[in-house]
Amino acid sequence: MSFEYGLYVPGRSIFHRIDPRAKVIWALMVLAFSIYNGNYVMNPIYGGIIYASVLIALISSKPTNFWYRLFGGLSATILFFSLIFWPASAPPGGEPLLTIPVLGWKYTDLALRLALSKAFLVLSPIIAIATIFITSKPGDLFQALVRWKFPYRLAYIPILALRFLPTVIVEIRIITDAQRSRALELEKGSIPSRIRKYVAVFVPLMIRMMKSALELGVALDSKGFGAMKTRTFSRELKWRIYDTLILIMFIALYVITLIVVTRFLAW
Amino acid sequence: MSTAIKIDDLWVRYRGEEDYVIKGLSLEIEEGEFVLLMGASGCGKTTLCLTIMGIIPRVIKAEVKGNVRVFDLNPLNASPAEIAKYVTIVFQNPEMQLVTTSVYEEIAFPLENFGLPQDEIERRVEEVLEVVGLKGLEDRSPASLSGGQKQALAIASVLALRPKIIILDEPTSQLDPQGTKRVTDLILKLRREFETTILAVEHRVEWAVEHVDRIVVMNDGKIILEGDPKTVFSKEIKPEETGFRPPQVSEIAYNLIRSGVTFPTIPISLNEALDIFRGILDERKTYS
Repeated sequence: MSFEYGLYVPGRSIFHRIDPRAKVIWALMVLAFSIYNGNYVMNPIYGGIIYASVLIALISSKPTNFWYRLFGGLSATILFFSLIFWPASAPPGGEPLLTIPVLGWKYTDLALRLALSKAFLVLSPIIAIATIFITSKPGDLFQALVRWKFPYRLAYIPILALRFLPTVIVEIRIITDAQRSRALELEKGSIPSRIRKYVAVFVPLMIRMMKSALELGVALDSKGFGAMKTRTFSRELKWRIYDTLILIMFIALYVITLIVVTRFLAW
Repeated sequence: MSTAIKIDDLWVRYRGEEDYVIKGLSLEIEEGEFVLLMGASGCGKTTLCLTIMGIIPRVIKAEVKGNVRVFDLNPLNASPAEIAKYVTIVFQNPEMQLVTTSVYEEIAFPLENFGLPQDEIERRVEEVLEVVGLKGLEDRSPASLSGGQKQALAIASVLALRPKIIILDEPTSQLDPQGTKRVTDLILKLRREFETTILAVEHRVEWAVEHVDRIVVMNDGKIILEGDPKTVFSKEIKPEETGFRPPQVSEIAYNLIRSGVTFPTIPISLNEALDIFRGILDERKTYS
């Protein structure tokens, strides 16, 4: 995984072709409906539908295997910990589904609903936001922010961070190799001692990055960054009817399924 | 022809340091001139470049005495935007100068910053892509380019602003021979086609020595030697004293002179050296 374009994975999927502003609105929608469901409705089926819609968005944009592994792992971890810890704060009552033998914890259906809803509340927005970054060029995201009247000097900070992701990865690799050749054994020892060993990678990285930051500042300066109050864009984003349609489709999906699920499914 | 850069009795001392890095330096560069700045590491070359750019004292705090003029601008108190129209700098590490994620965006970036209209940006980007030879790579990410291509892109990006002066701070020091050739060809092309004033800081002289108008040698914050390449290398230069190596062919000549061979002139480039050596060998043949 080289992160050549930051998090962006080039492609020609539906999500790649949507205006980044539409994608941001979609992700905010996912966030809002997830919070509403996770905190008030607590319906795991509805949470699951949002989660599924987000997964479809992710899979349809054909990211690299790295992303499948990352979100697969993340989903499993969050589901696991939710199922273990959330039942502790479940409301009393409900039908017991299972009792954990030694500890004597009762697992009610309410506990299960709570745990699953909370897990989906965390997972869906994260994957939705990641999908924006995977399917939009950093430059287009920057433009979207500027169009929304963000000061462009501030809006460029996250874009620079994305741009320098591949550079930082290369630096880390170089420093790790250099420290290994000086007999630093990063793979050996207990976890605390391994963390301590990573200081030997982290400190040189920070020093290098700070030195480079000055150079970067000068480079931005000599490219006239911040010279004018407003800037133009050579390739302007165009909001098309297609973007509106996709958004309407998602709103319809989330609202209708919310009504259907809460009305007709008791769970 | 007007004066592009005029420096008069410049003294620079970084904040918190006792010694001045630049000690009473005066230099004048004409418009369209190609000047090579040389000297040992730490002799103040980069400090000088940053002062011409106004980065010292605006970004890096330092005490600056003396006068600097870039055309009719005083970089010591001008805004970065004003300076960027006249003079721009390219560093040795292209990685940190590329701030976007595609070649096209990289070249368009400075033009967008100055608020140029879309069609003008498109025209200039096309033109610059042609000049630096990156046509067809518009959508590639800078991270996927070779070292030489990256440095060419860094130059391209500042070139789009059509600056009058380009400062190159060791532009080839991190490149392989192929990359070096690409960048030097580009620099020579700029000079030919756009008559850009170029101030290059370099350790390796071989590529530049045939083309530069003037060589300026710095040591310990002062200029110790100045003149066209022929004059500069006509007397023996000891790397231990000046901190930089003359062209290898000149070094051979110095050695041969010491062992009694007479040279019509000290050669500075390979072709010139070949001619001179051939001449000397022919002479010897006729004597024996």
